[in-house]
Amino acid sequence: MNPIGAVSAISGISGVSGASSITGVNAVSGASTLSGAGAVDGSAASTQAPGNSFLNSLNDAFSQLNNQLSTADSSISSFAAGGSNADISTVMLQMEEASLSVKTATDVRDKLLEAYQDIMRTQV
Amino acid sequence: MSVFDTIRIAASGLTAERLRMDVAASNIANAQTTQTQNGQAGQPYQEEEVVFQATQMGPMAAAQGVAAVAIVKSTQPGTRVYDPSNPDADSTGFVNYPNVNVASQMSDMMGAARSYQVNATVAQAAKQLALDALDLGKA
Repeated sequence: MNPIGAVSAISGISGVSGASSITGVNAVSGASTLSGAGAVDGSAASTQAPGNSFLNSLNDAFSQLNNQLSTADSSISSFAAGGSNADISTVMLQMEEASLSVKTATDVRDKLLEAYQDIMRTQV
Repeated sequence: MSVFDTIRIAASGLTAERLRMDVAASNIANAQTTQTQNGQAGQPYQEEEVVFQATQMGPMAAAQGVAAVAIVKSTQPGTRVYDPSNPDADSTGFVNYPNVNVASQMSDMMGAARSYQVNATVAQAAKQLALDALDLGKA
């Protein structure tokens, strides 16, 4: 069970880097909702040259998400194995944190794809 | 201060209250125990109490969770009951019973249960806040 498999498919979004040179990608500043994960600095995306910085912070956010998922995973397995220090409240809240992070990540992905498709639909 | 800090603070409260519940259960279970863990007669179980301490959990000093730092044994004298037939009776025929006050342990247990519920409600509310914030992004 690795929901990150679906999420890591998002890293394919770096293929969109051609689009990220377009300032229209700043419309994705909705991504700063990810600051809940403490990794994405939304202002960095808009003030610095668009391109690597945003994707870097996106990468950071995803690696943090991956950490959260593996933390939740390991505490679930230690709880199932009857680990003495496993607390059901801790396990449940870690799962909730991971699920919130996944929801945030999918929302960010949706926003990104939306912006990308808006650009692709531009009449030439 | 992220929403996860709120959840972690509530989680620390949940863990702490569960420990308080554990200690109350131990005190109640051992209310009639006349020997220590090592089997020493004449040394009854002593009532235990948890000591909580505020600990900083997020980047902000104001956001403090709770941690159990110690479990101390009460030094209150226990009850002495005259029962010469008891194998743990001393030379004068008295048996030393623990200093556990079952009534106060019951109220402590109820307090721990209520505090646990409150912390669970805080975690639930924090989660709902995050979900509401995510809904802002929906079309």
